[in-house]
Amino acid sequence: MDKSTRIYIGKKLLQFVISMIVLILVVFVVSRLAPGDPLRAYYGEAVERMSPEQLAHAEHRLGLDQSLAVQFFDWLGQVFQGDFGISFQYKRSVMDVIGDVAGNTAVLALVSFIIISLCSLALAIFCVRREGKTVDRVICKLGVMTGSVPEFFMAMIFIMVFSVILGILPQSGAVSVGGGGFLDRAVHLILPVAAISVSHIWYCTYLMRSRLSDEMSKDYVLLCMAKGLSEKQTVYRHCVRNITPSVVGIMAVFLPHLLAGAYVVEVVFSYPGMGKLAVESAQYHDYNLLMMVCIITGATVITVNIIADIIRRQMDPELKQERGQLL
Amino acid sequence: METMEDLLRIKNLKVSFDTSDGIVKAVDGVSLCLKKGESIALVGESGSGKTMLCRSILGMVGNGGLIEDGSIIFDGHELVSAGEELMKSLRGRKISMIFQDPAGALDPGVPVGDQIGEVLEIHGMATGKEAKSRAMELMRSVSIPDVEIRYSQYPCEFSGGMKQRVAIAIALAAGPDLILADEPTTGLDGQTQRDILDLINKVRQDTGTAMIFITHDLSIVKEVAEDVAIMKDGRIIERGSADRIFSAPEHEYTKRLIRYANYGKAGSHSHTGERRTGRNTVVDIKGLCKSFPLGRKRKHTVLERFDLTVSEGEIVGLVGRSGCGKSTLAKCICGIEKKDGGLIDIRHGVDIQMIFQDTGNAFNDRMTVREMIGEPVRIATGKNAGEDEVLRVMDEVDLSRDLIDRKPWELSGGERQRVAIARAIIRDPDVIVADEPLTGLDVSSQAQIVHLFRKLVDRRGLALLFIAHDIPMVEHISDRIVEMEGP
Repeated sequence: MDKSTRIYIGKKLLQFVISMIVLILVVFVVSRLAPGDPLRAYYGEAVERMSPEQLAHAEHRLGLDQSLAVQFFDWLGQVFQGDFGISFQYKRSVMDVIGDVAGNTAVLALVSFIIISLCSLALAIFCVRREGKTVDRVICKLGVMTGSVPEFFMAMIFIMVFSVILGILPQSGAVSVGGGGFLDRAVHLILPVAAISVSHIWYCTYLMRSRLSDEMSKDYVLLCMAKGLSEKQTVYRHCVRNITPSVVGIMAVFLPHLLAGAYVVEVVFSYPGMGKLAVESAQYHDYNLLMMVCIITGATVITVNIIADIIRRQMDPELKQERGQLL
Repeated sequence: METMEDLLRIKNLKVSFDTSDGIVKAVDGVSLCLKKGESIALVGESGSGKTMLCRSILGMVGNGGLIEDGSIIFDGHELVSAGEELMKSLRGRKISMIFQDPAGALDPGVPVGDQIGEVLEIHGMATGKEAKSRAMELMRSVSIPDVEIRYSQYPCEFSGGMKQRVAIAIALAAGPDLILADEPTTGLDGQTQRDILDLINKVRQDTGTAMIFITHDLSIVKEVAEDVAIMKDGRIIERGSADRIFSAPEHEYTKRLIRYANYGKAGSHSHTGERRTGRNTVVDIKGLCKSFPLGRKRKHTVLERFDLTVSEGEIVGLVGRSGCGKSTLAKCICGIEKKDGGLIDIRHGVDIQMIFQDTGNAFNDRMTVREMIGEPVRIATGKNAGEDEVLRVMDEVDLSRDLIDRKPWELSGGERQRVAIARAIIRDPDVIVADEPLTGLDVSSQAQIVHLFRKLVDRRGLALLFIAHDIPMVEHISDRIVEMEGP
């Protein structure tokens, strides 16, 4: 690794730290500003029967009587000791609650991400090589249609068709009762993954398609053909290779959309994952849980984007020449 | 038999193009023979069909292009009806092409050495290490220094001239019988242009490859070819030896091209006779400095202690290779760039207008000619320019009145440049700074534009700072030439 690359990565790490600090601050403040009663989340209906002294005592026990700044630094101090607080609702450590379901979401998101990446690129290449022909136009129209259907609605259509009418796929959960084998999990993934993929594929395909189409109208394509390469060889050896950095960028930018989509789909399928936790914790003002869900999601997006930037820079000789700006 | 000697025989070739404006005949009945090792210069202005002719030989007329009629016989093969397999085996191997724009012609994402080696691999002539060593040899043969390092560098690390050398190495890689060179020196600055021409000549002598050299610039053809064919509107209107064409041109169009090619040289008419010195100085530049930051600590010095004066009614030609700071100077004078130090003294009440380099990009695509020309008036007064005002300047720059409602992309390069000039003069400036206004124009349009400038200067008594890298055209009209050395 040469010096400029090390400097670049150093800058990116610094960027990561700054982004994380901003993210944590914003998440903390916003979650506290949100209206609602965290005590109700913790004590449930019992809150209404508590005396003022009991309420004060409860607030004190949960640290809610301190000022926002004190609460923040208390919380930050605990975080650095590896204590992320307890979930008011589940009465368990936040990390335990998240740890139970994070794997489910990771599998759902990762499988969808891989499928969307590969299918979009394949579809983009397929369309560009037939640009303007009937098959390209039909795919474009279909893509706009599927891309316009929100994922929750797509999920409901899929449940309707494949679970209710055809009865071939399970409509909810991550495993069957008593099941839990690889096949059982895979079967439960099919519909959520399909719902996410179908509603998002066109977005990525569209961006890649226009990027590839631009690339193919460049002059070097003519020179490649004049060298004796076929159109197919030119596309795969030169054009696709040159848009790969852009594809990495597109997919990194797309990741938050995918996660948001996955969270929504999880709720529709009652799939035990971060999405369900996010919705519940927001509903019940479960601060510690809500913050961790937001922070983990945000950290994933920031990390992936920074890794994508580094990969892009390594792949693209022109980017490598530029000096990266810090912000 | 004569047919055996002929490497390339084109007969009555007709190529048409399907555009949104209907069918355009790009090549309209061209016949051309080329013997082994022979070279011919194909001279014509843009739109004359010379590029299409070459693409037809390679079977690459592109989308919308159609070879309507005629035949192209290369080395015994009929190419017009040839299948893709045969064409693929000929392209790069027997017939190769050097493209006009070296910046765009190389794949930005592949090391240059691999792009040269690729030709050998495609045609099964060498693979792996052998391809690499052959590619290095080729790079040496086109005089690229430090081949070991340069091999694995990317095009963005090469200058324009170096990129063109790489493109030439690619064209030579498989030892073709015919090279099609499509304006290989256009867009390069003077010295680089000469270097590339020398290289092409050397290649031709060393390898004995036949060549079709396409250019719009008659002044270089003598250096590259024995034979010249003049092309206009898809037809070859005159063909002969270079000596004959220059000494006794037959066609009126050829005569005109030769006249333009002689501008700035002895024997041509000149506009520089009536010098008007001793007039008032309008722009006085002393010790001008300008640099741009490169990263945080380094900086790139473009102008260092630069002096220049421009007087009323004078045309000052400013020439120099690209990158020497000509455009930066123009922008500093007009106040678009802030100077770092020195003095730019503009006489009180003097109004300056600038004409930009690339008229293709300098206009807003959504505006009509009327709006573009009238824009300075609108900016200055807040009211739209009157139609008579716009028409008056359009007449003055010889722009047809019918064009008033056209959009920029519906205009030719020459017409766009006239719009830019009209826009510059509508507010009656005292000084015009024109930054490379001839770039990308045909010689005819170039000649018309420089004459237009001369006319405007003489009629309006304004001063013109004329920036260009094409020295002959500048010399033709300038009262005074200033050469910029660069820092």
